[in-house]
Amino acid sequence: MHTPDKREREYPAGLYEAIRGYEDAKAPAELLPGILNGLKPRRLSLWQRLLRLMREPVTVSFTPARGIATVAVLAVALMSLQLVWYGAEAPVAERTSVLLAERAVAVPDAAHGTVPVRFVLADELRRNHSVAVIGSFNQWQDGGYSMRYDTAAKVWVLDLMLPRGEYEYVFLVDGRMTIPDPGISLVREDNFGSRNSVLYVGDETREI
Amino acid sequence: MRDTSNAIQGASRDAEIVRDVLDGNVDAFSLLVLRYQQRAYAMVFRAVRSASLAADLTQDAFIQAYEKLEQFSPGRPFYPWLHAIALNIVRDYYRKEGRQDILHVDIDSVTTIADEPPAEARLDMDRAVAALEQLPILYREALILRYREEYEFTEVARALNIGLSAAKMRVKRGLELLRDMIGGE
Repeated sequence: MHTPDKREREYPAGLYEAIRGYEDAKAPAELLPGILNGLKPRRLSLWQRLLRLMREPVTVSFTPARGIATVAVLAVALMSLQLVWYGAEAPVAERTSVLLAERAVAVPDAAHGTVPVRFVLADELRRNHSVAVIGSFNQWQDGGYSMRYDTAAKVWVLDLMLPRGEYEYVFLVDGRMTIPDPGISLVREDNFGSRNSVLYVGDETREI
Repeated sequence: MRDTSNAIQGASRDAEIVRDVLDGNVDAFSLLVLRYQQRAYAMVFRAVRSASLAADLTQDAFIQAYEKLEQFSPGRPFYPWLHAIALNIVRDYYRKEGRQDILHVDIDSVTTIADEPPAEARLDMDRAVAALEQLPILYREALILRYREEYEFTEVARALNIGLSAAKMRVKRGLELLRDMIGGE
């Protein structure tokens, strides 16, 4: 608390109490969306665009069917390469493709018809203390949907199994701020003026 | 006094957000709006006494801050800079309305609102608040920044876009005016 200096003590103490206790008018709820709607995207120089591109996380979306096909093609390509490299009689390093397949393909839960979805938020300097994903798939509640910080990749990550469907979601940062997913191009405004990211999970998981 | 380490941490975080916005991340600006919209709106409301007008002018202030964000000095607190922009917008509004008198007040014209000393402490407080509301905006803002927001004089000066000695003088004159208005010694 401010301690009045000698000169300030010349004034009645009630003056300072009145100033400190002066109540402010509350900002209306529509102020934030009004401001955000008035912002125009900044024109970036080529250099700034390149820098931004390098800093942004790369999100890879895939369906199990496409993932398996891709891994199979990769495996064949790798084996062909090795055959060319070592000659026709060279032994094939089978584990390489098996490991790739295990890592790249998330097996859908056929019993429940769910599909794996990975949420990623870049935070290179780890400026945030906690991040959760809230959306229409969890009634906008963060319980159990906290993201873990991947120190190697310097990103927040959450893997979920979601039923097929269309979802809106945002990242809840430090339990008090919400931001749409910077890696998803489509955002939709809700009735409260907030902007939510839109994701479609189906046979072809993709952003829409 | 204000917690200096928190203030420095806040300024550093503001600078990071500003850098994100300058890198093209428009959404990051919402963090600054969330953090400072209440203070900025309250200041503008104190100046114009109209909720809808205060919302419009506060919106203009944030949009102008966004558009001239390159001029913000990283490392310095964001709010005094925003405050100065908002105050200029209030000035422009009154200038267009032909009401420059509100911002350039003849101190002698400020009336005393109490002729007799108050009987109770509570009354003292009510009268002091009433006097504060009647105080010309430039003095009131200086007093609120200094004693409620607990800004250093250098920050008061930056927020009011005036020199350091002028900020000190404005606080002093504000206190004198307030004391005279409530009939204090």
